[in-house]
This record gives sequence, structure tokens and C-alpha cells, in this order.
Amino acid sequence: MSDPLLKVTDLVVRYGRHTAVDRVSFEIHAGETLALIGPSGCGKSSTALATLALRRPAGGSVRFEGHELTGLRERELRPLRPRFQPVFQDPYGSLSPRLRIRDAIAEPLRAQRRPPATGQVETLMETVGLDTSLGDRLPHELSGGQCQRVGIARALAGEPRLLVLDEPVSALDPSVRAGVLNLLTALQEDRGLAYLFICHDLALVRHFAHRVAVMRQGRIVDTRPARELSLTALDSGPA
Amino acid sequence: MSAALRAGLTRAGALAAVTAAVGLLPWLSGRDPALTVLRARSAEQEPTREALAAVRRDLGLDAGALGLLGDWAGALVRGDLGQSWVSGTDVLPSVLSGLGVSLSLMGASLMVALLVAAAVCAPALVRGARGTVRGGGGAMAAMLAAVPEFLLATVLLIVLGVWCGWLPTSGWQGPVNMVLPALAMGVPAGGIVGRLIDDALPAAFGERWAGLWRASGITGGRIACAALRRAMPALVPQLGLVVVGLTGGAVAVETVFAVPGLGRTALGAAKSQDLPLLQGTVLALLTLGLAAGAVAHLVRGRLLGPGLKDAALALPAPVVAEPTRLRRAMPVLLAALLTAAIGWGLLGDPYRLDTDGRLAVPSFAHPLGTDALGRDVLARLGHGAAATVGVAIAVCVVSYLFALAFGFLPNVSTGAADIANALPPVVVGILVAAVLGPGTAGASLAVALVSWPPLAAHAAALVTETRAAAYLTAQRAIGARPLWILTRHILPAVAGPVARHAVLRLPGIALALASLGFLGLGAQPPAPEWGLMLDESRLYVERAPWAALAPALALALLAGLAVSLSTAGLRTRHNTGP
Repeated sequence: MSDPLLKVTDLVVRYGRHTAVDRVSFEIHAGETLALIGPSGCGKSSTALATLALRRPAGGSVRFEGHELTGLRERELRPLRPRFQPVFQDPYGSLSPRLRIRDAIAEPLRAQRRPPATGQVETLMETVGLDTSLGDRLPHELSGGQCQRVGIARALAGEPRLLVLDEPVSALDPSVRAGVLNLLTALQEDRGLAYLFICHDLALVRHFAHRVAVMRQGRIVDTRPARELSLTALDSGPA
Repeated sequence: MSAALRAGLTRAGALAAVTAAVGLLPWLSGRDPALTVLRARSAEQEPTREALAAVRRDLGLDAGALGLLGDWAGALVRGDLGQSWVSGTDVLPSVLSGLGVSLSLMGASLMVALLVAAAVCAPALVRGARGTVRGGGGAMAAMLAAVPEFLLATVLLIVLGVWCGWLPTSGWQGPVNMVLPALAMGVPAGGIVGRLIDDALPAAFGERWAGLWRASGITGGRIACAALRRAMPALVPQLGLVVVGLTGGAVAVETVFAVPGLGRTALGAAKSQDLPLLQGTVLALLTLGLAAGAVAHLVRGRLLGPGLKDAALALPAPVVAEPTRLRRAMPVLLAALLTAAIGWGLLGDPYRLDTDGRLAVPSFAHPLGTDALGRDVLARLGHGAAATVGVAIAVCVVSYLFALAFGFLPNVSTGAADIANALPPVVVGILVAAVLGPGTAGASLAVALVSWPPLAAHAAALVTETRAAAYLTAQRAIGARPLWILTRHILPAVAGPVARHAVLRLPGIALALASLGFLGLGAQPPAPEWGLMLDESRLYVERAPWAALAPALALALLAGLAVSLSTAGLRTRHNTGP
């Protein structure tokens, strides 16, 4: 097997004296989806933040495409960042209320001082299944599902290899959910994207993920292929 | 906990800074007081170099900043406030006698305030007891609350004192002397308190328990009492602020009615450069304000009980009534009236003297009459708008820029806002005047000093809120540079709402400037500033009431504008209270 795209080893995240993530290790290969599940407060989101190098871990290592991220300074991280991107839970909150859709999608390119080429934003919108006529709208004029697609388009703008999906569909209606999940599956097949999929919905995980890691109280207590996941075998505790 | 501790430390630090500024007054005021003191002590002595040096040595002015501060603080701890530079007597007895007078005046004002507040919120209580809750009215209370004390004092003096002749207009001989000053200070304070209660009551009556109590047959009266009790804890800290406001109002009111209290003594000391006396009186005024805040804090704790001291029981969110068409049109109407008067006045010459036409009655040539020097009142009113409203706009812009800059330091902002809450603009104006001398620049600085912190606190709250938003995390994940995030995301989110807040405060800032002008701490004659005009015309009020009533009316319109702006559905004002 080839080298993993992302390899997290003995990751520790602390908030003051509280240890939110306690020696967590996992790896994700290109084109693979690893689901991270567990009750709220178990450290899933802290793991995601540390993986995205948005929160400095207290210990352990995060290797992405052969680069060790934990020791890098923000200036050194900057050119790597477009390669791993987050998609957040709240579709409206993850978009600036003041930027038009077109600008929101072009924002990563502009922030990296690479102004978008003509038609690049439109191509991205089509890729995520958004009508290009929506480009001049503001986020509050869009539906939750459309906003989430904008969030995905923004993440795709920097041509990432890994997306960290933090409960990307749990704020959406069930009918819209399927559409967004199908989009994510199609993108993975087309581009060989790797997903770190944070979720608490077991049924969803079984269909969407390849492997599942179960977290409890800051630790990964079990990792197994998603199809082996049985709803009864998992003592989900007070979720 | 650590946040509370940090806030406490900031507050203590700011308080120490203010006290040090008071202690350093003689050094800060670059002007050499030696000549003033020499003149005051012995008019016949020649101001030779030796004599002046002797005075400086005598006053301890040659000790340098730190030495001066050390001496002052050391003496303060021993209870010694020093000797007056002008009269040479001890400061402490003057401060104590002034404190006594001011305290009794404030007591009487608080009684008036309670009566006014009770009258203001009685309708809401009765409605609530009957079970017909309605969103906040209270336009009347808001109007009362916005009238500045110096304006009300002047109008009361003219109407009840001079025209009707019912009550004495000056002095401090007996309880009769107390009536007009207490009314002038108490009515605006009562308006504020009444309005706060009136705003909170509908929400308290709208809570679930009220309906439950009613359904179980508890009488309306008892529910009304419980609702009042429910609304109180969150309001008590505001009452502390009202008392602080009274210490500021006392300066103007005591001056108008010649009451020998702390405020008038402080103002007199500032004007005669008698810095030790000024230090003593200002310190007493500050202590009074802080003590009121501390008492309010204690009472709140007692009302809440031990379990809920920290937060938990918030003020129920006010029920905002849909603004009526009249209320929406009100600011436009008032602004149009003011603009028309100013525009007309701008056509005239505010400085042209006409010694034959002194104190002339309103005529076609002088629609609002002439003042004591025969100058056209309308022209002065029009040109005065530039001095009052124009300077207010400048102060507002400066405060806004400061607020944006300091919004990124939440601790500094909240600490500064706390201190600004404990400092009435008038007291700051006195201090600044003592340092810089009276003038428009000093007055603007004083008002700016107290008007930026609430804006900064608002900005800080917005910055914190924006920083926590998911789209900012996305920005960081993109690898956006901090400057990019700041200019493209945080500033746009903060600039707009804080600008609206600043505009809402504009009329209030103009009134604060006018009150300093009225006290002689702001614009100087012959400038046609509204507060100054009111003060100058006060002396001739029996012969030419129009000359006093014109600026009074303009200021009242401005106050009305302040109120109608804030109630016309523009309820974006961020509550910076604790």
C-alpha cells in the first residue's frame, strides 16, 4: 500500500487543564473516507481543528503529503493550506454575510494572491451543481443546501487533496442531504479526494464512509471498516 | 473567573489612572499658576521673579511630577487635602460642607426621581395587573430623560421662579430653596429610571409564570408586585449610573440656582485655577459616584440571592412595539425644524452689535429678538449650530475611530467603558478645563473622552462575535493573512453597526458640549454656541425671555431628536451596562 495522504500520530489537544484529545492516531489514503464518530464532547471537532492546523496540538504529529504540520509557522503553512480544506456544519455561518457567492468562492484564491482566471468561479459553481446565475446573490438569499454547496466550491477552489467535513449535512433537511452527499461521493470518485468525515449519525456513516473510527472521551476506542459496523455492536453511551 | 479578575484589574488600573490624573493636575496644567495665586493673595505685590519663585516653592510646584503626586497621595492618606491656593484656608472643610449640601440636594432629587419614575411606569403596572400587556410606549419618559439638567434648571428658573415668582431662584436657606434644584435634577433622572422599568415590565409580565399565576387566581396586584420585583435586579446597576449622572447634573444645577454644593465649588475652583480645592471636590464627586455604583452592586446581589449572583437571571428582553408612523416620522420632523431654523439663521450676521436695539422684542427684522448686545438671536442660533452640532460631529467621528481601534482590545474597552460610566462629562470637562483652560478644544476633548468607551465596548462585542464565526475559521484555513482577515472581514462587520450607534449618540454629544458651554468651560464669548447663549441670556431673562428660550428650544429639539432616533425602531444600541 502507498504512503497515506494524512497520518496523525499520538495527537494531544488540551484546553487549559482539560485534555480534549488524548493520543489519537489514524491515517487516511487518497480517495478514502474515514468517519470519526462519537458522542458530543468526545473530541471529534478538536481533532478536526488540529488536523487542519487551526489549533496547535499539545503533542503528537500530523503529517500531510509528507510535510510535518505541527512544527510549522503560519507563514510556512500558508502555501500548504489550500491542499486541506474544511467544510463546516452551519451552512450560513460558514459564509460571510457580506460577500456575494461569486466572491465567497473566489476568496481563497484572492487571499492566496492568485486572482481567479476568467470562468474559473463559474466552473467551480457548475462542479458543485450550482446555477451560475446565483453568483450575484448573498448567502441569506440561498437555501441551506445551496450554501453548503458554496462552502464545498470554496474548499475546492485551492484544488485540495483532503477535505475535513465537520458534520456537513446534519443542519440540512433529509431531502437536501442526499444531494450534498451524492455530490461529495462524485467529487471523491472524480478527483480522488480524501475525506475526514465527522459525524454522529451511524446510518449515514455506514453508507458514506470506508472506515470508521469511534471516539470516546478524547480517545479512539475502535477502528473498523464501515460495512462491519453494526448498530448494536456500538455502545454509543449517552450521546 | 479569570475574565472577571482581569476586568476587575483593568477597572482598578483605570481608577488609579484617573486618581493620579487628579493628583497631577497642578503639573499637567502647563500654565503657571504662580501669577494667579499671587494676584489672589496680595493684589498690591509686584509680580517680580523672586515673588513668583517664592509662590512656586510655597505651592510645591518645583517638586516635579512624581514628587508632586507622592506628596499629594501621602497627604490624602492622612486625610489632608491641602490648602486652597486662593484663600489659603484648608480644603477639607470646604469639601465637607459642599458634600453635605450636595448630598441633601441629591437626596431630594432622588425622591423627585422616584415619584416621576412611579408616575411613568404606573400605566404599565396597571395594564400588566389587568393582564393586557403591551409593548413599550414610554415616549414621554424618554423625552424627560433626554432633557439635560442645565436646560431644565434654566426653564424652571424662568417659569416658576421669575414669571410666577412662586419659589426662590437662588441660595440655600431652607427647604424652599431645595424645590427647584431638586426638580431640575430629579425629573430627568426619574425619566431614565421610569423608562428602564417601563421597558422591562411588559417583558416580565409576558413571562410564563405571570399567565400561570393569573390562571391560578392570584390577584393582579400581587402579580404586578412580583413583576416589579422580577425586573429590579437587572435595573439596579443602572440606578447606580443614574446617581453618577446626578453628580454631573449637580454642577450645572447648583450653578444655576447658586447652591453652595460640591459641583458649584468644583466649577468655581476650576475657573479660578484653585487646583487643591478642585482636586478635593472632584475626588469627592468621583467617590460619590463610585460609592453609588458599589451600593447598587450590593443591592443587586441581595435581591438576587446567593445562588444567582454571577449571571443566570438576565433582564427579560424588552418587548419592542412596532414603531408607529408618527414615531418614524418624528426624527425627520424634528431634524427638518432644526434645519429650517438654522438655515434661516445662517442668513444673518451673528456678531453685528446694535447698542440701540438691545433686548428688542421679536420683530420682522429680528424674528427671535435681540440679545443683551443687540445681536440677532436667530442669526446666533443658526451660526451656533456649527459650533454645537459641527463640533459634536467631529467629536463623534473621533470617538468612532477610537472605538474601532480599541474594539480589538476587549479588556481595555470594557474597563474604559466602566470608568466612563462613573465619570459624568461635566466632571471630565472640569478636569480638562483645569489642564487646558476653558475652550472648545478642551470641551471637545472632555466629551470625546467619555463618549468613545461605550462605542468601543460595542465594537469589542462585535469583534468577539465575528472572530467566533465559522467563516473566519474558514478564512484561516484558506491561509488568509491576518491583515486580509481584518480589513476584508472583521472591519466591515464592525464598522457599520458601530457607525449607526455613533450617529444615535450624536445629539447626546451635542448636548454634553452645550452643557459645558453653558458652564463656561467650552466655547468662549462671543462665539454663538447654544449652551453659552443660554448662559448669557439667563441674566436678562426677566426683560428678554425670548433670548433665553430660543436656545433652550433649539436644545430641546436636539434632545427630542436624540430620543426619537433611538426609539424609531433603530434599537441597535448595544447595552454596555453590567
